[in-house]
Amino acid sequence: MKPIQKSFSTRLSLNILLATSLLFIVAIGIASISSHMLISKEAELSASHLLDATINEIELSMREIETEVKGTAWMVDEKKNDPQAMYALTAEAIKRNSKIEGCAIAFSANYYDGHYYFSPYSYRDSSTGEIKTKQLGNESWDYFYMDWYQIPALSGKDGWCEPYFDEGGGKFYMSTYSYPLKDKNGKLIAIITADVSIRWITELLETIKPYETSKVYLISRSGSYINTESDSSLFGETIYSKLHYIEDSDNDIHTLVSKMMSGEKGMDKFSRKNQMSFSVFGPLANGWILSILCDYKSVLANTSKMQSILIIVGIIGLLLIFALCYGIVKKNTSPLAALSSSALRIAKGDFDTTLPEIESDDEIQQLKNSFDYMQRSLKEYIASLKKSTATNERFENELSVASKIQMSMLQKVFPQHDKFDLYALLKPAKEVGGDYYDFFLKGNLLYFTIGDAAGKGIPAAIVMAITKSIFHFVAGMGLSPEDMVKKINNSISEGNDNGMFVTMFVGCLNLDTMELTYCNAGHNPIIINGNFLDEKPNIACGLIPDFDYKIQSIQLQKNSQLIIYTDGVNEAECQDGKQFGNDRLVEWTKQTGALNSQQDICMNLLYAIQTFTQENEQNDDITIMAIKIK
Amino acid sequence: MKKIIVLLVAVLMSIGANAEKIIFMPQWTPQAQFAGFYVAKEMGFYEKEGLDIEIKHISSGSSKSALTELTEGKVHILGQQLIPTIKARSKGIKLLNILQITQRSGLMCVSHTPLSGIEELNNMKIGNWKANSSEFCDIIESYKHLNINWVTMLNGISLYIHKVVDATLCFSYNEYISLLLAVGDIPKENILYFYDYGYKCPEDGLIVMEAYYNKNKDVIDRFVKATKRGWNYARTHRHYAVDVSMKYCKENHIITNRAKQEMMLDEYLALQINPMTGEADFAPVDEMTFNDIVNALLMTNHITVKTTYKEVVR
Repeated sequence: MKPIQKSFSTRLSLNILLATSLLFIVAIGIASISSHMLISKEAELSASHLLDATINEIELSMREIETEVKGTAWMVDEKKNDPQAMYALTAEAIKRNSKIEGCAIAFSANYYDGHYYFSPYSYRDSSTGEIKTKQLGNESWDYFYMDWYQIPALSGKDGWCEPYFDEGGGKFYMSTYSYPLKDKNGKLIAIITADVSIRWITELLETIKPYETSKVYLISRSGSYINTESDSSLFGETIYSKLHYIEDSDNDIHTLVSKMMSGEKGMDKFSRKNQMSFSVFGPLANGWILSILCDYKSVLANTSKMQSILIIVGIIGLLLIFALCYGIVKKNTSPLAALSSSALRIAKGDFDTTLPEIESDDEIQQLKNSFDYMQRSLKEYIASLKKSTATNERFENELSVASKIQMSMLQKVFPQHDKFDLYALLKPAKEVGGDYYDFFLKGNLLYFTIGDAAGKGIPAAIVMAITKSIFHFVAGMGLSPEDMVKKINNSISEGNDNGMFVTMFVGCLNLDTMELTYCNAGHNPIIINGNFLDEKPNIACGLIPDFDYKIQSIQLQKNSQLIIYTDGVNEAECQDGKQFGNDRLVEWTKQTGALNSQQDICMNLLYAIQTFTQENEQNDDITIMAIKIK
Repeated sequence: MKKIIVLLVAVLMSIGANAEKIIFMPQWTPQAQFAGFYVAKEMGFYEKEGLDIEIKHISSGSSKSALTELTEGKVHILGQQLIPTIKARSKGIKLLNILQITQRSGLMCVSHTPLSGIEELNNMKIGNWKANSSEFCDIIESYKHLNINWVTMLNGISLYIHKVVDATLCFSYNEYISLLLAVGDIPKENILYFYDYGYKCPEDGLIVMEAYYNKNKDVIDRFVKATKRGWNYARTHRHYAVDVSMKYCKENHIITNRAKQEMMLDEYLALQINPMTGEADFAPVDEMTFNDIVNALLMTNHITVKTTYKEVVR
């Protein structure tokens, strides 16, 4: 299967898809946050309005009840001289207002002589709906100490008491509105009450839930939940008993409760079990608190659904964009693919391949033209390259042959002699070089030389070859080193229009006396036993014809060690430009005692030079000759 | 083998048949104040003592005295505070305190305003239970030279919440907790514990009629033993004790909540710790304290006949 990343069309389409997706995500994100904020705000506002409306509705109903009770109180005052009429008044109050489940006119103690307790009471029979009447109050049900009586009696004010289960009266949970009826002197006559079933309030509150999961709480002044029929777990609980199980760390909830119970009106957000919610709350006129609690999850449920749809549509759209882009890019880049194939064929050497026809007049056409030009240029260049390569190959072959010839001119077989040991090596910087060495025995004389023609490469090699030939010629004549050098100098100087020259050291060792006679023509001083040999200055050969070269001699001893070398040794450079140098060379030669043979000395010196120069390219021929007197 | 099984069944049946039927009435409606009794019954501690106990609570909202139930013989054992016990004995009702449950007073006063000392109660309108009668009020007023406007209330905390009184008497394990769960928080400076001002009278104990005691001493001993066991079990198994208390509340249609019962049990168990020993040892009230209370009641004319320690305490 072809990897998708290799296709330009796919890659470009994916890039476009990626960019579009990023824009889509940002757009969705902004839209989501904005819509969440707007809808949340709207929900909070809506819940707040709902709260106000509900409070108004409850208060309206309560006012109706309060008005009914106050009307009854007026009639009680009118008919207080007729105790038996009180029963009818309580029944009529229930008849007039369907929300009133029970009505009592609880007279103060002994209001009627001989009647410590007198409290006519009517109530709606829960099973039949029939209104029944009875007398409340006796020693075991002392209504004077009931909240509904005692609080208004003490305060002189009307009000709603805490919800309670009335065992003596209606046998259901109710809250009672109490109105204290007083005479002209402010003395209490009776407490007129209306019992309201909590069920009525619960049913009302059930209808105002903004969302299915919303909770509506009506809370009494003492923190008790009033509407518990819809949520039995709240029965008997107070807001603080519920708060008892909420950690102190949930500050938001504690603050919310504190605000609610202090009678504030407002809205607070809080987090509970990783769910954000808000509560709108406000007090009723009677001191009760109404709170509507909504969780944002429900508030934003529809938004979340819309977002899901938007995301699905977006993903489908993105996929369509991808497919469209892919098709368009594929169509527009097909000439590029053809060009690519042609380029591949050209790269494989088919310079005559035909480039595809491009109909458009755009960058692709320009690219095709460039390819065309490149094809022709390559064709010409390759032809030229073939030609020059052939020439170079020929030249390299010739150079290789020259190198072999030059190397073959050097002596590779070293004499095995009982009075001396000799070894030499030459490592040219290029295929051919200007260094050379030579030696031969004639009777009891060992002739040896080492030279360095000026420059490098083929010119130096030619000079070297000439010098070697002359050296062999003059050496055979049995001349002294100085005469040998003079002959060589004159031969090279003759017709030397190019100013070529050769430095050389020529030595002749008498194997009987071990006297070394030598002539140094501008060459590096040789080292004997770790010290430079004191030499008279002579100029290099080829510069001045008939120059008067001076000979010198030195008496060698048994074990004398000679090191003769060219400047490729002491001038070898490392990468930072430092030279191997005379001091390092002399120091090295002083440590050759451990080496067994002259070959080891030559090879080790070469290794020391290479170690010093590291990776640096060799810039001059290196020639080393070592002779040791036995 | 068959004979042995028949015999065993017969023995068990005879044990069940011979179990002493006792009606015990706590002095108030169901709540964790009586958790030890509930636990003793539910765990079978009474049964193991050969007792068939009925815990009969007074009706919710009823103002009828539990003592009346005892004197009328409708109950055999009654939970009652020490002062009404002494008072009843002084009136000739031959009561005996067979077990002192709480070891110190949980009586306190909660005010709408800060109380820097007991003298601050002077001229205040303070709610007091009808069932508590006026003995405590008179003793406090007499001993501390106070003039308090006591407002009798049936129960609860409504008078305080509706601010028709300046302050209210509370028991630390009951009304005070109800208040906390109604208003959320009460500043500590608005609270006064009478124990801190020398009121050493312990409250809840178990009483029986002397005649019943004399006839059923062994039964009472077993009842006391099982009751102590129940309370000790409740102390170490508070969650279970609250569960049982909640069950009794529900059965008696008591409007309450678990938080209140938990807090009540904790406080009530704390009141069972004897200040002298630091342990819940159910020690009877000491004679000196008893006599101090008797003298205070005599001084305030709540009793006219001196009651002795030996007459009341067993």
